[in-house]
Amino acid sequence: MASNLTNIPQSMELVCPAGTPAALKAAVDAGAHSVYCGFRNETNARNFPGLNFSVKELRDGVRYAHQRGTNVLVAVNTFARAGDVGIWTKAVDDIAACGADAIIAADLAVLDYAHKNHPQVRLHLSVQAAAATPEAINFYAQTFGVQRVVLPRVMSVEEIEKLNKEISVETEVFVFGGLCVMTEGRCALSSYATGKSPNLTGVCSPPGDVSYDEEGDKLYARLGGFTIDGFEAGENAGYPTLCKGRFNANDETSYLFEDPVSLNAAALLPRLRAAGVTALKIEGRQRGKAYISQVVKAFRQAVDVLDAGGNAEAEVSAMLNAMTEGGRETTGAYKKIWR
Amino acid sequence: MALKPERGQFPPVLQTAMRFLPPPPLGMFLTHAVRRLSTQRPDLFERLGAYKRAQFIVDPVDLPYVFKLVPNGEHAFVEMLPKAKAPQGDAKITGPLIVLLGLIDGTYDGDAMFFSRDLVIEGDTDAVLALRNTMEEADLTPAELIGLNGQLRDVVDRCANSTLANLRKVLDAPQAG
Ligand code: SF4
Repeated sequence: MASNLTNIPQSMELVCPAGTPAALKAAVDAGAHSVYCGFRNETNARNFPGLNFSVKELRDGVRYAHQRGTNVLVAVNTFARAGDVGIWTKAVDDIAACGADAIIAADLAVLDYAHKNHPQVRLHLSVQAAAATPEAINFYAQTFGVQRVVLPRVMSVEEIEKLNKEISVETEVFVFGGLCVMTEGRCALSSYATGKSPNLTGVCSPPGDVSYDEEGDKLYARLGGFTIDGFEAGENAGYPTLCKGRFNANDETSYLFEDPVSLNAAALLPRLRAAGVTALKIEGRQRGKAYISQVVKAFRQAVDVLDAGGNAEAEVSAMLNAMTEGGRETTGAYKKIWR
Repeated sequence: MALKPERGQFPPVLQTAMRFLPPPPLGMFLTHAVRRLSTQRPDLFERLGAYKRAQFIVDPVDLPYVFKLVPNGEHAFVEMLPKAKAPQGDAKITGPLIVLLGLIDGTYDGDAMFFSRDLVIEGDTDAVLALRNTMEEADLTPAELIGLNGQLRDVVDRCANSTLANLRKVLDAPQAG
C-alpha cells in the first residue's frame, strides 16, 4: 500500500499546475504543497504543443520539489488505445523510477498496471474518470487501491460533503482556473468539431484546429472551421472552447452552454474544509509561470490564514482579480447558481 | 488590424523617421544568438518538436521591418526584411516591439496579451503555442540573448530591465502580468 503524502502541515493541501519545468519551479517557490504535471505525449490530458515534461525533466523536477518539501503528482490520465498500451505503461514505469509521489490516472488498464507493478506509488483517480458516486469511487479504491479522487466540477458543496461521508478515500476539488462545465471525462463536444477530445487525444478544442480571422472590424475565433465567437474591435478576445461559444438559437445569440468565465472558489474554502475536502486543485497547466506564481501565492495565503483561524478572502480576491479570464469569475457548481 | 490603437507603439514621428534610416544588421546577430542557444539549451529545441522547422514571421507594428525566424537548432536563422517583402510564413505574430520584447523576457503572458488584443496571431496556432511555451521555459534575459556571462551579465540585465520598464511607461504599454 502506498504511503500518505508527506510535508502537508496544513489542513488542506494545495495542488498546483506545472506545464513546464520553469512553471514547476515557480509553483514550488510560491508555496505549493504539491505540483501536478505530465509527459509530453498523448498519455496526458493536457497534450498541448511545447508543453509538458520529458523523463529527464520530470526526474530533475521531482528532485527540485522534494528538496523543498513539495510533492509531485503525475497525470497519465488519457485512455489507453486498444492494442497499443505501451506508451501508457512506460509512462507509469517512468513516474515510479523518477520517484514521483503519485500517479493520476483514469483508465482501468492504467490503474491496474500501476497497482500491480508499482504498489508503493500512490494512485489518484483523475477527473477524467468522472467518478462522483460512492459506488464508483469505492470500486476504484477496493480494486486498485486508489487513495484520492479528483471530483468533476459539477458537484455542490453539500453533495461533496455527503459523498465524503460515504467513501474512504481523500477528495480533491478544483478551486481556480478554466471551468470545464461538464463531467469532463464524458464530454465529447470537441470531437464533433475536430475529431479530438480530452479523454482520447488529451486536448479539448485543440489549438491546431483553432483559427482567428479578421473580417472587417471583427475578429472571429473558429474551431475546426466552425465559428465559435466573434469580437468587436477593442473587445477582449477569447479562446474558442466549444462549450463557451456564442451561438444562435431561437433567434437569439448567446453563450448557450456557459459564459466564458473562470472558476474561483476562494470564498468557499472554509466550507470545502468543513465538507471534508483534502486537496484544492488549481487548473492551468497551459498558463505561464507569472500566472502560476501569483495564483499559488494567493491560495497559499488563503490556506495559511484559514488554518490560523482567520479569513483572507478580501486580500486573496484582490490578488486573484486580474488573473481570471476576461476578469469574470464564478463559484461554478459549488453553489449551483448557473443555468 | 485589430491591435488596440497606439498602445505601446513608438510615436508616429519616430516610426516615420525609422523608415529613412538604414536597417541595422540584426538578422545576422539574432541568427548567431539562436544558434548559440541551441548548443547551450538543446532541451528548448526538443520542446519545439516539429515546429522548430516552422517559419515564424514576427512583425513589430511600429518598425518598418519584419523578422523571419526558423528556430531549427544549429541550423536556425533569423532574417530581417522590409515589410513589403515579408513572406507569409507558417505563423505570424504581430504587435508593438515593446510587447514582443516583453514576451521574450517573460514580462508579458502571451495568452493575456492575445486576449487583450495587444497581439495578433495568424496562421498555424499550434506552432505559435509551441513557440510561446518554449519561450516560457527558456526564461531568457537580455544578457543571455547577447551571450554574456558572469558579473557583466547581471549589470547588463539590470540596465536593460530598467530601460525596458521605463520605455513601457513612456509608450503607455500594457501593464506587466
Ligand atoms: S467542451 Fe467544455 S465541457 Fe467539454 S471537455 Fe471541453 S471544456 Fe469541458
